Amino acid sequence: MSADTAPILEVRDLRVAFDAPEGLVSPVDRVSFSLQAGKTIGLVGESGCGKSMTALAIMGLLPRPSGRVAGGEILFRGQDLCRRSDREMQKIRGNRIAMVFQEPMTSLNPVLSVGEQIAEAVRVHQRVGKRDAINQAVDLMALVGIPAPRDRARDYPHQFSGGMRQRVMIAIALACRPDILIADEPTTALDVTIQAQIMDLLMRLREERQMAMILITHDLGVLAEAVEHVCVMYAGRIVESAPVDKLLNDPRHPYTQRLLAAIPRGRRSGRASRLQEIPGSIPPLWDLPGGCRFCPRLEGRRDLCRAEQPPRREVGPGHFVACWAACSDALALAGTAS
Amino acid sequence: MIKAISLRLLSAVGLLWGVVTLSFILIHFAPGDPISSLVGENGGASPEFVARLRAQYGLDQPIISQYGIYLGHLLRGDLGYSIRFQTPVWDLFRERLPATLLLLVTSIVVFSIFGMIAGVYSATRAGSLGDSAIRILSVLAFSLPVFWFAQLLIALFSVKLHLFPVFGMHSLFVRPGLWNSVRDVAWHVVLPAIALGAWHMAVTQRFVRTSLIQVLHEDYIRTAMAKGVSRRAILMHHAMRNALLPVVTITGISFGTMLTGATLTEIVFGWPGLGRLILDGVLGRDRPLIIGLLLISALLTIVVDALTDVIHGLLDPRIRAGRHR
Ligand SMILES: Nc1ncnc2c1ncn2[C@@H]1O[C@H](COP(=O)(O)OP(=O)(O)OP(=O)(O)O)[C@@H](O)[C@H]1O
Ligand SMILES: [Mg+2]
Repeated sequence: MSADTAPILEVRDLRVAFDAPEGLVSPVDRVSFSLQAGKTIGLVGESGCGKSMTALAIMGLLPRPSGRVAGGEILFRGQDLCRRSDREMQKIRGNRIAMVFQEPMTSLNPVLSVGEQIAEAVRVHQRVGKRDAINQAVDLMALVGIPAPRDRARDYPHQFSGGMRQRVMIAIALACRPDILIADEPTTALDVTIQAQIMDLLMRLREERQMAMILITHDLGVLAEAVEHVCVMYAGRIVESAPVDKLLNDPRHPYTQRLLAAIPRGRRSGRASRLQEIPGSIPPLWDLPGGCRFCPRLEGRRDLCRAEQPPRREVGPGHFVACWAACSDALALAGTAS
Repeated sequence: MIKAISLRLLSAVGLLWGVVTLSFILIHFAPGDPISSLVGENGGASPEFVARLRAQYGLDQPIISQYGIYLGHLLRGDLGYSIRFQTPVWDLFRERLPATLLLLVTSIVVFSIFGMIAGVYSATRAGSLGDSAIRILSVLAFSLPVFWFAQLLIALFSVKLHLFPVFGMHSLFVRPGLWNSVRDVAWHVVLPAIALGAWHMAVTQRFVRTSLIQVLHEDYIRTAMAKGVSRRAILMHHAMRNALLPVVTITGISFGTMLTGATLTEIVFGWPGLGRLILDGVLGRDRPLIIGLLLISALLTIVVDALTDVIHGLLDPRIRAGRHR
């Protein structure tokens, strides 16, 4: 494998375990994906499918003491992050891998000024004085589009709107020019009008800084322009993973197909149409069905679906699906071709 | 800002006036009166003499005019004349208030700090053996009656171990020099401060623990961790400032209880503060003294309340902003 094709981040069979009142649960179960330097992948799925847990596992920030990585590895530049000590992870967090969270309203410390909080991100990893750090913080605020940054740096989070707070969070994440930015639903909590601005900002900064990015979302609508590769998660598993155009135009997993159908048509083609709901809901983590986890929400399920986990099969270049139906289609196709 | 302060002052004056009026009425309707208790203790006197004494202290006047006269004196800064001690009330206070303040402030400051340290320890090691041990000690300190605990301390540390003095605030003989007398007073204040402060330390420890555990689960703590900030810096820089907000409130509230506790502590330890005066004043139905004491406690409470707000403002920019508007 040559240096420039080796992924900067590779997640292999990641399993996250939690001690819950109902017993040991795995909100993330044998998740694998890889991220090339400078590229962006999307992680999509319904609420509660384990997207945030996957991100927190990479950051080494699973809520302690109940949550932990119970299996698999997270290779950053070829080294397993799960084996790093607390101290070593501190040096990577915010420095090489940074994260923007889902909740801009509560993610900033209410009693510290915004400038202080950005400057802290600079000072934790770089040998700079207080003045320099504040100056860098002001530059970062300008970079993320906060007007009058020098004055605003002295203000406190409660003086900022949700969109502005998310910009501050982005400034914090970018403080040390990370190699990887994890953006966990960065726009979900914001007004619709602000959402597009924040996405545009992230896309622009990604280009400028050549960062690799993991964009977590449950909005398939934003994926087309934003990412190169998509992983679709369902109940802790990746059920389909494909280059973005493949996934949008030729989804193989019934869950992906439903998700796409659930996007209002207006978003994709200009015609307004009714939002299609996916019938049923995600099974609770402590009561997962045997076999395929999506199967109970499907009409045409077979015995095989109920009995056994579908394996991950490649159905096209870089296009993987974990579904018995999709696999047998693929097998049938392969059969007719030969 | 100016409006807020004047509003505060106005309400403080209103509160003090209410305290005076209410205690005036209550004392008037309470059984017994200062002259009969004074005369009774001195073996009795003729009715004429009693009547003369009454007239001398203005007690023969109708209650309304007594009240008016008292308020008039008060407005000129005159707290009246203690019937029992035969001294101006203000002189009694000037003599004894410093001792009470010394005991109260020492106790609050020292045991707030200890309580915070214990609280941080138990919050960061929640569920550990140390946490459980602290919990047991706290419950104990919380439920011990002050006077009983005080006597226990004296019995153990003074009488048995001879580590601390049994009584009072000064030794009979102290070598000259400021430093020597400071050391002497410090040595005397240890046990009373413990007796008074143990309860406060327990309250502080419980509140810091609860509050800190809650704060450590906040999203902004996760943000700080995502920046790569060390655990220690997160605790000191990010968590403590937020966790202290409710603790400051509770310290202000606990001050009222400490004031009562100080009375009992002073009586047990023979501490030359206001505590003994309260007992004597009430037993002697000494109206000017009782009202004066109530005024002082009300004033202290008002000051502590204002101080609580100032500290809140220093800790929390959201409160600071609210005050400017
Ligand atoms: N402390 C916890 N203990 C046990 N289970 C938890 C805990 N926190 C979260 N979970 C479970 O983990 C699962 C995955 O949660 P996660 O936050 O990763 O979902 P998500 O995909 O990010 O959803 P959303 O779109 O709502 O952010 C959820 O089913 C949730 O119930
Ligand atoms: Mg999430």
